[in-house]
Amino acid sequence: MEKIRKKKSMKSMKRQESITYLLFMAPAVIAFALVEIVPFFQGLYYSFTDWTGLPSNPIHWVGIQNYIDAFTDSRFQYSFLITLIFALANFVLVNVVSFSLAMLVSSKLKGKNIYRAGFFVPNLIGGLVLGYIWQFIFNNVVVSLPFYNGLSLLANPNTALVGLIIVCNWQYAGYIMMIYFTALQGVPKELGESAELDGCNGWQKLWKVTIPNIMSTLTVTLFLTLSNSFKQYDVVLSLTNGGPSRMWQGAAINGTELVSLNIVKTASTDNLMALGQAKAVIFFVFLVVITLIQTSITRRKEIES
Amino acid sequence: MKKLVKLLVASLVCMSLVACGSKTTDEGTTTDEGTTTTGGTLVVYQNKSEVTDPLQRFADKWGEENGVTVEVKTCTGTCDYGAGMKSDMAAGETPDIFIIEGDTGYELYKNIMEPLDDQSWVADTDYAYEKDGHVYGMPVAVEGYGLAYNKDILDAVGVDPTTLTTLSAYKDAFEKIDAKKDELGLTAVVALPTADGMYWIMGNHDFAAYLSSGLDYYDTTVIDMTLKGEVDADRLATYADWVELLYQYTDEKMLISSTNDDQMYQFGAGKYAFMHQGTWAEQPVAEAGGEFAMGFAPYAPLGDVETNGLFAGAPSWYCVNKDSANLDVAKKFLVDLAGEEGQKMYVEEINLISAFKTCKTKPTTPLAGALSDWIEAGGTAYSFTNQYKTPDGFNMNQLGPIYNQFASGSIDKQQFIDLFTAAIATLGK
Repeated sequence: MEKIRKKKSMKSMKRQESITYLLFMAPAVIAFALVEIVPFFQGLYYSFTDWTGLPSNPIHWVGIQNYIDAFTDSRFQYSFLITLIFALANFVLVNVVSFSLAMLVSSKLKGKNIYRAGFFVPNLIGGLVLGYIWQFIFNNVVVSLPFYNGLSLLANPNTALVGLIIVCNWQYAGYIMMIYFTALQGVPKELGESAELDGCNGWQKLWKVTIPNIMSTLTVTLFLTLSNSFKQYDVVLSLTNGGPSRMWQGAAINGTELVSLNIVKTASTDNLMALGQAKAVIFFVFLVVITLIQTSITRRKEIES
Repeated sequence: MKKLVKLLVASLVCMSLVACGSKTTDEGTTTDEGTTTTGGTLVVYQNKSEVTDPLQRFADKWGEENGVTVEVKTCTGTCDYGAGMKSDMAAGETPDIFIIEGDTGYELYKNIMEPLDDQSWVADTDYAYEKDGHVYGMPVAVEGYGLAYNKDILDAVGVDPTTLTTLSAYKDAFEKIDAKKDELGLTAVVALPTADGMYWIMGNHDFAAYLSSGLDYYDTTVIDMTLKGEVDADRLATYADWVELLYQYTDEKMLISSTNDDQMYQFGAGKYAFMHQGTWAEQPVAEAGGEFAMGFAPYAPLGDVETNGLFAGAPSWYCVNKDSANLDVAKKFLVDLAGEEGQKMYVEEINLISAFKTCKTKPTTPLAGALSDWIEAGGTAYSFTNQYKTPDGFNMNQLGPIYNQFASGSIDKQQFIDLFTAAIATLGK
């Protein structure tokens, strides 16, 4: 009897608690539903129609035609390819650079606080502004340097991609550096010291002591940098706007038009809203798969250590 | 749990009420109640930054006289006018007066466009937007382009701009100027960027040379062929010569990595003899200190066949939303804008060329002045709009990269012609 009553009261208490939780969550949930969930399903629906974005035009169901068009669009295929190349290169480089910077500013370097602030500041500048600033730097400043001859980096599709990676690193590495820096502060000093006593060299210490200890942070930073690299839009828009052009499968197309930019151009320059939406859905599925794989791998590592 | 459900339901109901509410009021004001209920704000949604302030001043004064508030909303630069219109329409806040830039805009908004055939200004202009026998748009102003030239430099070398009507004439002139380049302090003969973001210069304005040069203003032979996916091979061959000539006399940096800002400022600074731009380049050129005499020379895309026309016309039109609660007020606003006061504002404050015959004021700035004189002297004009009849994005996303590839030297003239032909062939599908 006693047991049952206890169970019951526990149950009702639990229920009450969960209602309170839900109520507290409600504003966020409603806002999230309104600006994320609803538009998402709307978009999914539109991608199967000939939607034009204008309320006055009727909407017709066209099935998977938009998806067929998207997959057979050579510009879109190229965008995917170039995004993959860009994202992988950018992903690796951002992490290497930001980790090195974090090591640097958590060492015994003089004036490291100034460096720390300095590396972080570019992240406070909006991507659009930053793109235009760097466009000026690449096109007007670098080319007038005495040892530099030839055209701006942005004049050739391959080097323009390099330029893009440089700017994205410059913008994002400082931010990721801060996360790494905080994690590095949390690694117990004793561990490193005892490793040194056991005869570890610097490299071994990094791989066997420091990195295993910041594994949970790595999950976050790798996720952030990976999805950020794939979704890069504003810097591309202002730095290269997708150009310069190159030949691809016998047609002249834009050389640095990453997927996000391709989607926007399809939707608003070509005025093919539904096709753009279908491309966005494809891109979304692709991103979900990639980031799921990445987080599951790093999670497993996390548990191991 | 139940409470939460109730809360959710309640909030959903509220939201749907709000949504329906806006819809019903919308329909209510538009259909039967007309202007009487609102008397409130007339919204003009336009796309020229330099027009915003003068137009708002004009609108404020006009509004005071007529007892309405006029709000001038501007979308320019990085703002996407089409996207702005779409979201305003979706929100049930369609502007009373909006802008179209040709057939694309008409196709997008034809369901909400009020025919303006009976308006008093229609007889006063040659540039109204007409479609299927009805007038739908009032011209904002007249703009135009050709190959802008620096008269001082041409004089110094001894080139008469009026002779620049064939490819060979241009070749001689370019050669002459190029030979004296250092002496005159020029970077190159022609200023013409083709980088991405600048695709409109070749993709719209130079493409117009292929479509309309040498034809009557309303002759649509070539554009009709183009839309069927066919090219006029002879015309395209001489056109490619023209493009090649322009590229040949533009320096690599300008051609491949510069922006139109660089182009206009450098021309204004006297570093180039020619600039592939139109009347809208006025302000940057002046800011760069361009105080020399200027003018426009016709493009020469037909080889030895003479072409003596500039591309002039109205690039954009004011249209009236037929569902507007302020329909009559909006029409009256446009009538007065086309009148003496309104046109004076355009010419004197913004240096545009008036699209209306009764306006006697002429712009005094060099580029607009040159075009204005050209029109007044009865100079030939070629179609200003043919190039905008291609599907959205075709000129920018399909042709732009081809021009850019040709400019960067990675394809030759024959490949340029082949790619051009292939791109146009896709239109026939």
